[in-house]
Amino acid sequence: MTDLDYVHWPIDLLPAQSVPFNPVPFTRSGGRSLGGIARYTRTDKGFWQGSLNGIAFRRGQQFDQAREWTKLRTYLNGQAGLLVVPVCSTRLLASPPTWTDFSPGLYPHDDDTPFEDDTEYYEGVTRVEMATTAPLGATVVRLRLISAPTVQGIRFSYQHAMYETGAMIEQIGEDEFRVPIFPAIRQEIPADAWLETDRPTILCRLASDNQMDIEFPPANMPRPSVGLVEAVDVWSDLALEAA
Amino acid sequence: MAIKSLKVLVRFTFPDDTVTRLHDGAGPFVDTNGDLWLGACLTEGLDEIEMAMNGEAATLMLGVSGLAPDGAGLAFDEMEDGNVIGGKVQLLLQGMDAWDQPTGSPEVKFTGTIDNMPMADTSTEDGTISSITLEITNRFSVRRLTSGAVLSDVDQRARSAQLNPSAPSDKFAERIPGLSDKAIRWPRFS
Repeated sequence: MTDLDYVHWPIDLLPAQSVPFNPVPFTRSGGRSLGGIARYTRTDKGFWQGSLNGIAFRRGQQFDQAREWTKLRTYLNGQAGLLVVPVCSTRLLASPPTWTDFSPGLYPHDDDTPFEDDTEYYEGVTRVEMATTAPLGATVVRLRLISAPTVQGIRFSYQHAMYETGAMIEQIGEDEFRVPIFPAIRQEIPADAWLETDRPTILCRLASDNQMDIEFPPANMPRPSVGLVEAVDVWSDLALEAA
Repeated sequence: MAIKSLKVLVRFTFPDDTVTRLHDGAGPFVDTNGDLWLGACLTEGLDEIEMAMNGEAATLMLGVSGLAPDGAGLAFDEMEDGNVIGGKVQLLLQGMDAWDQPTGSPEVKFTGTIDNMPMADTSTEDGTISSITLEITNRFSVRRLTSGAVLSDVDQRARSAQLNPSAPSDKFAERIPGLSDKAIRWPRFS
């Protein structure tokens, strides 16, 4: 279990028109009475549910794309397979006129030297850190804003567990903020850990066994969608293993 | 202030003292004592849980889904080894604060022992669902059963022979066998 097997969705080769991911909270109620009274109680923060919508097959690329699709499908083999999906979240970070370009930059080492073959680190421009350790199950975390317009109402991920933040509860110092998050922390995030904010990733499973069905029509290109559900059971297993 | 958030927890203590903790939700959850509760879904019986908590139900059918595969396998192994029947099951409620963090210790609302664990496979076109249902009883379940005891002459004599061997046998129920054939007539007054 420790060496978790998953595959990354190749978002460059198989780009989706939209990647909606939405929270599914657990709420229980006794229903609405004739008098209009309905009392709702939340029994859990919930989990993510989403999809890759309108995956674009292009004429020039379709052969590579089709082969990649088959490879992914063979790897996943139904709902048991684990998939990591990048969820573009630059909309949540953009703040014109200053924060508009989120194209990743290239960075050298600390002493300004590149790698042996003259390549550099490829990295997003935003930078948000976890200020203090976020224990398993935490629903309020302390974030350190280093280079980003805000830490409120954004998404971040750490080791493929995706979260989104609410309105700030409290500002601590100049650049540290306590914010509530959805969902509860799936796996402990150590202090000073860098968080992925402009393209957070989420570990999921297919929503049903036949989500990867595809049909190539005679004249057009297919535009399939894939339904996904967060693989929450994996986090339970990992937590149990660590305990 | 109305309660906005709470958690339903289930704790199993198996006869060999292994403890399994589940909560009705997604992902892992840690309570104030540092105990880890795994996400699972109580598929059926939440209404019965409510009754159980109110003391109305003495037996409880609890369906659990989302168990880890090794957990479910373990459950089966332990069932085979006789390590499930007789296990203690507790249902607890954990109050949560405005930020969904646990406040205080969870409160035990129902305690019972596992009486049976039927497993079921349901195949549909969407896939096969394997579920485990636990039949849980508590001490009040006996009160639901109809007593099979009857007062008979033989029993009564045997009992007196045990209690007081030297005395003549108790003939209190001597006429009982005959009574079953006896026609009871109501008196006529006119």
